[in-house]
Amino acid sequence: MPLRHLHDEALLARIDRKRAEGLDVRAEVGELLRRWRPEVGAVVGSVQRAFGGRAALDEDDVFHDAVARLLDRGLDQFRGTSASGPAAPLAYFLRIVKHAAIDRLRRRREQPADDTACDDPPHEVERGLAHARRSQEQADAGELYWAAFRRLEAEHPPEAAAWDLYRHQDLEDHAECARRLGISVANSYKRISRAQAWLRAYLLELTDEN
Amino acid sequence: MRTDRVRAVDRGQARLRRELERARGASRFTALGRLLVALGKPLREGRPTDDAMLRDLDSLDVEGWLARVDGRAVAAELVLACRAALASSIDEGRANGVGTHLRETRAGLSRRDRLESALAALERRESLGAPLSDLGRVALRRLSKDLRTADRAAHSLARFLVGLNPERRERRDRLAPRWRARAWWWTLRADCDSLAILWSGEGLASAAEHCADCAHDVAVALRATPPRRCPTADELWDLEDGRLPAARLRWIEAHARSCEACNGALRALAPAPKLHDERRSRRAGQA
Repeated sequence: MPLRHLHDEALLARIDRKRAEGLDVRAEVGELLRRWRPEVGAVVGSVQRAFGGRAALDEDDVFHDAVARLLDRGLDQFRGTSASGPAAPLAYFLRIVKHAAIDRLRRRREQPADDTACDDPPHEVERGLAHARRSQEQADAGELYWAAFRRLEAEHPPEAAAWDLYRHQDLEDHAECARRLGISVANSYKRISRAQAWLRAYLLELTDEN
Repeated sequence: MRTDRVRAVDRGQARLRRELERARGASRFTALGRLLVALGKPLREGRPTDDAMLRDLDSLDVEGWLARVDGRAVAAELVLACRAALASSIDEGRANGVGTHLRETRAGLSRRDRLESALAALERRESLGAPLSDLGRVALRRLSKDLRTADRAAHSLARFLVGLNPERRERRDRLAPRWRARAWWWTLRADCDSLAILWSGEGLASAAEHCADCAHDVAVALRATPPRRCPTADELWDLEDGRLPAARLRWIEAHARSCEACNGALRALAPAPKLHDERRSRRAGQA
């Protein structure tokens, strides 16, 4: 049966089968992307509107980002999942499109000059690489911090609650923190101090483990 | 003075030897353990011990004792002791808890240290030409392995003990140099007193100046503040899937109030009208 007569699920099943046999699946994947391409515009438009609609996104750029990410994440994840269970192939692909559009707009706010263009001079590329390394380091540090905080929540809930109010929700006011938690101001100080000490200990342990 | 001390140790060892001779059943192994500790402790302190008494110990008794020692339990108790020391430092000033933590710490450290003394006695006994049977050697190897495996966490745990450094130094200084590295619970970070600031307050800069280990620990400890950065692309996926930890979600929402790009991202991820579902349904109908 010609590929265009198969619906998405049947095409996916065929991709699964052919991949298991080690066969080329480019035609099937190409057919899926051909079908999905017209849906991309609406998603890109809705993301642009969420960002205020001032910055225009090139639909083709976003589509190519999304396809690259789909292939990068691997066809094994093709079916994808959502909080409510397995997602339809198109819905999963459009989620990738949405996130690709968000990434492009966020990057643009972060780096007014697009340093991903191929004709960038070498120092621009190096700057881009350094930026990527810094971002990765920051992401790693962030992951450790949140892992430490989850441990604090599990082992010292009163301290974690105070820390969450004071630092995560930017309260930074012991009187207000004490009022919300129903404790004395002195106790708020103590809980924040203890939370910080435990977080330091957990971060050190997690860093050693890594 | 030194001779008096040696005589007192000798008397102690002789008394324990008599206790061992009288003991029957399980209490025999307890008595043997105490005697081994008493015979090994002087060795670790660079003093002579009663070699004849060591050599004359019944090999079957020694093997029975080795089979009963649970190295993993002792190692686990040491980990708990280090954590209790940390809890004691952090809870300092609380009306209750600190005393309990300190008791737990001292008990765990002491138990591990006593076992090290017993092992030192057994090493000496073997060097005196009183080897263990194959079974005894297997038991000894297993025990040593369990303890050394646990010792791999020493570097991580020793920093929790810095609040006890004055008494740790006292114990360290009693040990002969060759035994110090193994007794990390007394020796590792025993001079890093300023590191205690990590558990009790601010002013980390001064602690960082002590040594390379302290500088590393302070650098890591400084990260104990919420990262001031935008969420990563992966975090936005997790956020949409409802997999982001609640605290991180609250932080991102607060951050987005002052970050235009993240504000846009959160708006874009907010549940949308059913546009795509409707289109999909239409397409499915056409197929």
